[in-house]
Amino acid sequence: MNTRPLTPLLALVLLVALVVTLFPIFWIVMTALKPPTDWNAAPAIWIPSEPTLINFLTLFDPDAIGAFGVGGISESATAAVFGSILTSTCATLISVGIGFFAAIGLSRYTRVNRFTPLFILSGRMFPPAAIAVPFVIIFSAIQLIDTYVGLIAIYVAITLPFATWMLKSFVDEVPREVEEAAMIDGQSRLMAHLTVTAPLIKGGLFATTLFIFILNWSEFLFALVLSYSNIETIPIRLAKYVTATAGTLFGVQAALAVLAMAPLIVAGFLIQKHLARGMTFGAVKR
Amino acid sequence: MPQEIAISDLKGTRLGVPAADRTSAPSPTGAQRAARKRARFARGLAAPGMIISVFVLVVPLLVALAMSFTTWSPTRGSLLDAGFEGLFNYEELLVYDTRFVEAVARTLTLSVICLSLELAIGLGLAVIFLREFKGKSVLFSTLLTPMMVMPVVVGYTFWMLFQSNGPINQISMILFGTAPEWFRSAFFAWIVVIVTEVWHWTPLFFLIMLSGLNSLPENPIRAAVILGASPRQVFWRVVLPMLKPVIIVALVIRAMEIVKLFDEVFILTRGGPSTSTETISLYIYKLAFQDFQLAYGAAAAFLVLIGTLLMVHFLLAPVRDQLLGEPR
Amino acid sequence: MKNHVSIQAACESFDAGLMPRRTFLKSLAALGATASVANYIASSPASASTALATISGPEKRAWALAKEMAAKADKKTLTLLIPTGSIGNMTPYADKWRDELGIMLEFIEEPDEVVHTKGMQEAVAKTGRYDIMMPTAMSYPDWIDSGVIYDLTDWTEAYNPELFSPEFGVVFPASHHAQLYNGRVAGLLNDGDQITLLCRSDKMAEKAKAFEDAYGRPVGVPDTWQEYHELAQFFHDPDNGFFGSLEYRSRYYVKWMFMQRLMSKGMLYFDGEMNPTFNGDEGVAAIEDMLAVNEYLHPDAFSFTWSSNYNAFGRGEGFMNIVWPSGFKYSKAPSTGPATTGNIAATVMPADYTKSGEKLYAGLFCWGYGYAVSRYSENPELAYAYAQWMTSPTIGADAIPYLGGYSDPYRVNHMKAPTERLIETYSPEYLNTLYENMVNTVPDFCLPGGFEYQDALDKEIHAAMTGDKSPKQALDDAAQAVDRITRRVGREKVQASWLSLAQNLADPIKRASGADKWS
Repeated sequence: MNTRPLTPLLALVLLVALVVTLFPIFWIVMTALKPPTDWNAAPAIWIPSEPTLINFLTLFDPDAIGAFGVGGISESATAAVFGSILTSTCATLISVGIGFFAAIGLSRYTRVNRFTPLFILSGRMFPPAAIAVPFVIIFSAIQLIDTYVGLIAIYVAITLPFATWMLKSFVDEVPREVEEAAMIDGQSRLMAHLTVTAPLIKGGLFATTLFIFILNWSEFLFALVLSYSNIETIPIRLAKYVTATAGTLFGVQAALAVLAMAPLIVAGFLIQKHLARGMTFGAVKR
Repeated sequence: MPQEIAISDLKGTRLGVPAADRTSAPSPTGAQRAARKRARFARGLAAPGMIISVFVLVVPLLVALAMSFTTWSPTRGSLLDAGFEGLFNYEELLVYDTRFVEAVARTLTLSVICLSLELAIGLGLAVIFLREFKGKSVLFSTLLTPMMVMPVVVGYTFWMLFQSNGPINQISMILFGTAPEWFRSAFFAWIVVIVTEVWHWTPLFFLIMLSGLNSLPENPIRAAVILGASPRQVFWRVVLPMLKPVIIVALVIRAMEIVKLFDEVFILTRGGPSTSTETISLYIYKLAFQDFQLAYGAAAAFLVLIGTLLMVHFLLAPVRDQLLGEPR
Repeated sequence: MKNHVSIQAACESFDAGLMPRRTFLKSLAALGATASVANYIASSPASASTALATISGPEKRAWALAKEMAAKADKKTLTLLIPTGSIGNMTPYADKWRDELGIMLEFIEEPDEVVHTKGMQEAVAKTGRYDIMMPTAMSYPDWIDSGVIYDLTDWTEAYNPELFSPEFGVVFPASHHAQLYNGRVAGLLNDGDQITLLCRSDKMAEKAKAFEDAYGRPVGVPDTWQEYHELAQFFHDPDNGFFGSLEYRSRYYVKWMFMQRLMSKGMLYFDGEMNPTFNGDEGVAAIEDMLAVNEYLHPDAFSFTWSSNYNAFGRGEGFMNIVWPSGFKYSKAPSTGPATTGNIAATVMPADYTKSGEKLYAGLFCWGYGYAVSRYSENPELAYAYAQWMTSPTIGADAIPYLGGYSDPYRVNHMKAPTERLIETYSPEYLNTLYENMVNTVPDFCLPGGFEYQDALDKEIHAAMTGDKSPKQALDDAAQAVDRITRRVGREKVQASWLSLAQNLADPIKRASGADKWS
């Protein structure tokens, strides 16, 4: 549209946006580097007096923070990190995989009607608090409660609507002639979609995967309700950093939060060119 | 601006086959067989999604629906023995439970305020990002970071930021010589909740808006410029109407999520002062997981589900054709 | 106890007059008798042998039962659902259970507010994943009604945990309101949660003269709410970041500040017919009293959690604070109470005057964790044995002082015959304060639907605190909400449980509220 340079005023706006965006992040990172005495200091301490990695160490060695007179953490965060990686990765891959096929089906083989978007999205509109209890009843009956399989199944189901919709918008943009050419060349329908359609929407697959991963990675309520002791995820672990002798362990919480967001931020940087173009959910037709 | 996508490069290279060649020839029986095969394939594509949705969403939903017509709670024995009470819960909610009605109204108000702000800021930033400047790609990714932070963490962080001797009040004291007690009045508590929510999710709007702007066809814009339209006119008369579908879709996606807003508000205000920031999901959580009025909570959730469905349906109406793509 | 036989022998020779008192105490210690046993025996008016037998009885009987059940059990693990942050009181005994009984203790921690949720959820899921659950006293009615936990009465009769002994039982009336539901034992208390008042003794000494000049009486911990108000006003110094008081005005906590003041005026939540009584003149006065104090509160009062409240007081940001016993521990420890270590004067909650003009001391027993046995446990009797063993007068006294747990003194001997470690943790004066306060406590809404009642009240009190509603309006709205809850839960059911709760309160409170005349 226009490729004019920035005016000073716009540059200032961007600067403000940058500061506002980064300030809370800065605060989380600084909190993660603060020794326990600085967590609740008044007035608040911006830059830790003596930056320390003790909060990060405590995540994996709960007794480490004992050096600061804080005790009462009983478990390391290893299980939670493992659980989060396992559930989010599996659920995201399955959700995007199934979503891809569903998107192909909707885009190429289904007569859509005015309720189709609603139908796809309705899976995302359930208030989680309402279906959580039925989940407990059903999952206890079929022994899926407190298992990763159960949690992954739920995550797939609740993210599938977005995965399907986003991917459908990308598939819609691929001219169907491309696939048909491949089919005429003798490929089966399935192979044509996998070898021709999928690579063409690579950027869309990346963007969708990241978006779905963020949703799974942050999910709290279902994990809380369905976990007893076998499964744990990072958001659940975060809520458990409260001890009788030191109250809420803000530093340790922040350390885990930093660990949890770092990979997502890196992923965001890596696929930024796909992010900046694909996320229109099919609302723009070229 | 770079506009081409990988697909457009392919156009023409492999697509030499004329359309007529593809549709002609097969005999009627062959066509029928092909149609059957095609339908079977279509079913196969939809099957995994359908199966998992039915087992994991529809079945629990039916259980919850059945529950909502009883007055069951675990303190009253088994669900199987619970009697059918008709629409009792629904009547209670809509007619007598002012707290529910207020929570719904409040959630709507909060959504409108937050979504407007997120849209305005996100769109504004996206427009700035159409210009060329140094460090654009780094800044782009940096502005997206709030999206990557878990809601629980966002809640704790903003709670700390807004404490009386936290950094926000330190800054406010320096600038204005005074600072509010953020959690003492409904007005300021709302500001805290709105600021938190806007900070957390404006990046998604920014991302979608920028993505939409980047995808707009250039010809109408060029035409407008040639006809002598000022940049302002181009934006309001040409770009914005073309962007409308993207805006609506972004609103729909965030509206569906904001109805579920829970973690941040629970940590920041617990719905207080009194219930002045109690969103509908906070109230349903209270009903289902603190009071264990499961039947009543399920009924409340169904009303919310129906409301959300209707809202999304009507919001999508203007852009439905565009979203559907060309069916075949 | 390791050397029970030798200790027994020592007691007998002491009774026979063969051993002077000091030698006797020393030899008990040398024999490895726990401090709680030695202290109790030495202070008991009865003979040493009798005292030994009685105080160590609950522990011994529980251990014998545990041995028997552990041998029988197929599943060699006991799983406990506990609130996050409470594990410190339990871990020191895990090795003993493993080595001597072959029972592994597995702890599942959940955020404190989620414990009630998880318990109710287990009533639906019936997984049998938990053997023991640790809720607060308010959970018992709903848990018993949902059939998720055992009624422990038969076991307490068989293995006598001495819950009601005047010498080392759980302090009355907490023994009743924090453990019983409709007169039957639902759980065994292991945490004497009550609120007490802390003042800064150093500030009082500093301004003693000025205070006396202003009010015509020597400065000291407040005896009445009126004095509390005056002290808050006098010591309030916001320019220097020092505030009169740090009591809570945040959602979820604020109801307790109201309930406490209501009790002090001799008013309970309901009358004998389950009609709300908190919206009468006393209730309105209690709210007005709170509004008047608002002026002298810490600016974070409206967003305090217990942890941020304790920290602010520990940093020296206020003159008074209303805290659970753990708050006293925070203020006493140099790491969490840099400004308050050695500068704390604690007292029972201030008194107020009843309708008839009598001065009344009342306390509020709020929260209070206890052990409950899951109905879906594979080894319920073993689980019960664990609960009785952990809450016995002797092991309880030993467990409370460990760091990293919520457990606070709850039995008479914990406060009246404390061990060295208890004294070190709480100080003799504070242990005495705890006892004096606990005998006058009124509980939370430990009724069916208890959490709902408290939330309905909390919401309206908060509206009154922010000025959104007038005191009377807020309380009337709360009364209406409470009535609706009663109707829905079932009037007769709630009334029965309310009457049984109100029967067992301190006499002055029963008299003041008229509960002594309810049938």
